[in-house]
Amino acid sequence: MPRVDGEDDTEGVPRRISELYQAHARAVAVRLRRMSGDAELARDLAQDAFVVAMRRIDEAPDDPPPAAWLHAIAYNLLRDHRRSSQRRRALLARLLRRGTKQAALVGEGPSTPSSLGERIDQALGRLDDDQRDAFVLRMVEGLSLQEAATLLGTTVQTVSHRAKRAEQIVRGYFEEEHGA
Amino acid sequence: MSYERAMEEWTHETASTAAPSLTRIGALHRTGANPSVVSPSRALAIRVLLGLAILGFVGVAVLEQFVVASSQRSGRTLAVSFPIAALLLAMGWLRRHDLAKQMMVRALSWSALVIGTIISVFGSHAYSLAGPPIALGSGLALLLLGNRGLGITSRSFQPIAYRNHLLLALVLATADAGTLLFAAAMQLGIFLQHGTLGYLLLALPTFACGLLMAIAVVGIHRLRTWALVLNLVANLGIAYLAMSGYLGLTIPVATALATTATIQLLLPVPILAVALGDPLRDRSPLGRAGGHVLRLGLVLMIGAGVLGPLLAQGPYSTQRSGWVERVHRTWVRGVAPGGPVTVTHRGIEVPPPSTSESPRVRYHIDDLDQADAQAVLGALERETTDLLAAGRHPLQIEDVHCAQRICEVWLTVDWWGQGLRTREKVTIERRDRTNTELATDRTFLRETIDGIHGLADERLSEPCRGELAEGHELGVHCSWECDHDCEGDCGRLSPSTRSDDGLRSLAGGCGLAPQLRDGGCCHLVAWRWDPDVESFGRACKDGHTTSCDVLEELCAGGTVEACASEGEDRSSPEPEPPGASAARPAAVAPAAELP
Repeated sequence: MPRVDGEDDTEGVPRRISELYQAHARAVAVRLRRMSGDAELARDLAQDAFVVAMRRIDEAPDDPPPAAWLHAIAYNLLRDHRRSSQRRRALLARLLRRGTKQAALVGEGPSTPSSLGERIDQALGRLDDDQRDAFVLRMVEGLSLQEAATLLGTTVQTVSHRAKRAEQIVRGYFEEEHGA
Repeated sequence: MSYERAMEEWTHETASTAAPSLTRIGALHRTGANPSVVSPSRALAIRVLLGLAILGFVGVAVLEQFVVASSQRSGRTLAVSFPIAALLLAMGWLRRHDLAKQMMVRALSWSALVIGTIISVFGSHAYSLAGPPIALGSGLALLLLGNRGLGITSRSFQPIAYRNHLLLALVLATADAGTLLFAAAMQLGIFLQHGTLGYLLLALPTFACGLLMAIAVVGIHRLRTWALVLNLVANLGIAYLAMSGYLGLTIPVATALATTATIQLLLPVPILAVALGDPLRDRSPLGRAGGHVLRLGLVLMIGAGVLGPLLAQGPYSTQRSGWVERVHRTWVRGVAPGGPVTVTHRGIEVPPPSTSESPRVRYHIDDLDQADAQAVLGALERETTDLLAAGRHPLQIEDVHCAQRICEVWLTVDWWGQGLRTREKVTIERRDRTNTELATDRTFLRETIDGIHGLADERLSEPCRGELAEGHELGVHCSWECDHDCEGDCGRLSPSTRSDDGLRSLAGGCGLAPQLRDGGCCHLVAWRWDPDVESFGRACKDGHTTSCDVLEELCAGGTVEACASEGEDRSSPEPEPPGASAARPAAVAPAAELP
């Protein structure tokens, strides 16, 4: 395992990573949970993010702060996971069309949401990934437009537009529900 | 529930998401669950091996510049800069956590291994000595690399199946692209060195093929379907172009490209089968067995690369030296026997000779590449020398370049066998013939001889316009030869004796009269030599030797150098410039040999 000169290891983890972990592990996992809608996946991705961070600890910048660097790694992993999932879903859909796995998946379908989490997830399910990311960062976590744009790798205007559009969609979901 | 309240509750609820375990993260990192690259110590060993390969490529350039005859150089100094740069990049990328760079390291090493093995096994002249370090260094580096680092996840390269197939296709395609670009650089180097236009015409399609493969590599890395199709089409095209000779590659390089192209054509078959409706297999056909096959192939290539120069000395030599059997014009590879040889030409077996050594290796010409052309025309050299002996123009073929069915033959002609040597070029263009026809057609070979005769005629028909300037030497060599066979050709072959009266006068002045008979043929040759440029000018046919006094003195003294202008008689020679005598042609005969 690569060691960082001048730093002691704690349980095989460099001190700098330990500090990052103590300060930001939960925040990373929470953000991933909100963006992905899956708690287990969020934990796995947060874990992978710290493994990647350990491997690249000598590349960690002081400016911007390491926290931003860590969140960027986590967000990139999430995006990789989404791409991979999309391909798997596309393949599965193709196989389903051929009936290869039709039998195995009979009975699977959308269930009526009961808990708050499920209802929110269903509301957020109406958003595409970009809108969801902008919505979580802006409306839920309260990041500034500039911070959100930096993390998402896009412009301030785009983030603003996506976040507002996402809020309209989610709000519309709950208004429909309330009206019903 | 209102939107605001729902969001507030959800925010609180998700905030309790558990963080991953730090212990688990440390364990993952220690056990390498996340794929890692080679260790620092292993990376050091690999860098040393790649450095050995780089030294081999440097050796090619050194051999070309200082060992190999200038006529045999073919742009390798420029070309080897590409693999050297590529291997330096590979050394730098060894420990990079980037799948693309990890694949590039393998592809560049594969490319170097293929080139090294080809140089070692099929290389001619001294180049084969540079092959073993290239093959050994790059091959062992690949063995040490193994599959370390290939498990790294990449944003763009995340196939859901057949990852090994795609990785192998990527590595082979990148290696092909490197080999093609290397070949294109060599062809460009030959064009720059010799000015042979045909090589520029060859370099363009070779470069285009390499570029096409490079584009396919980028596309496959991004898992684009068009890239897979482009790779298939490009491989089909490259295999065809390489084997049909349109890329002007040597047979070994063309065979290597065709082999990798075939593998790449087979690799995507299961992927295309799934796309066309076959069920997705859980296990890739390229499993553990595939890895063993790859390693075995690697070891065999290293062995061939290391033993290549030794094989060249043995009976199964792959060196492309040999001769052309004269009756059937069949190129026979091996050690030339002293007498008639047995050859198989287009299925017709010619009976073996009763005496003399038989050739060790025989094969048909089915393509005319550079090596074939050199060997065919090298064998032709002997014949042309014989044929031209009557005309007294011994020659030596220095270099042959064939491309796009245009052959340029560079040769040194010793006009009249008198030491007046000039470097000439005969261009033979037969675009209407296939390579096989060119190689076996007597007409094609005969054109070289005709071209040389044409050059001789051209030289003789030109008037003497030479003017001696300061620093030039005038050397006059007198010799005589009476040959009844050349009767009637005296005027053509020896213009300085065009006038019989003049000839008699000169001969008489030189004391040659007793030997001169009517109908005899005397050759008197003068030449001008510029020591600065170390080359001979044209034969100066008259003007300098009209004075019997001068001739007498020249013939008596052997050689005399004098600075003179054309037509001016010089009764007393000027001192010879320093170093001029050392550079004088050896064919100048001393006075003692003159009658």
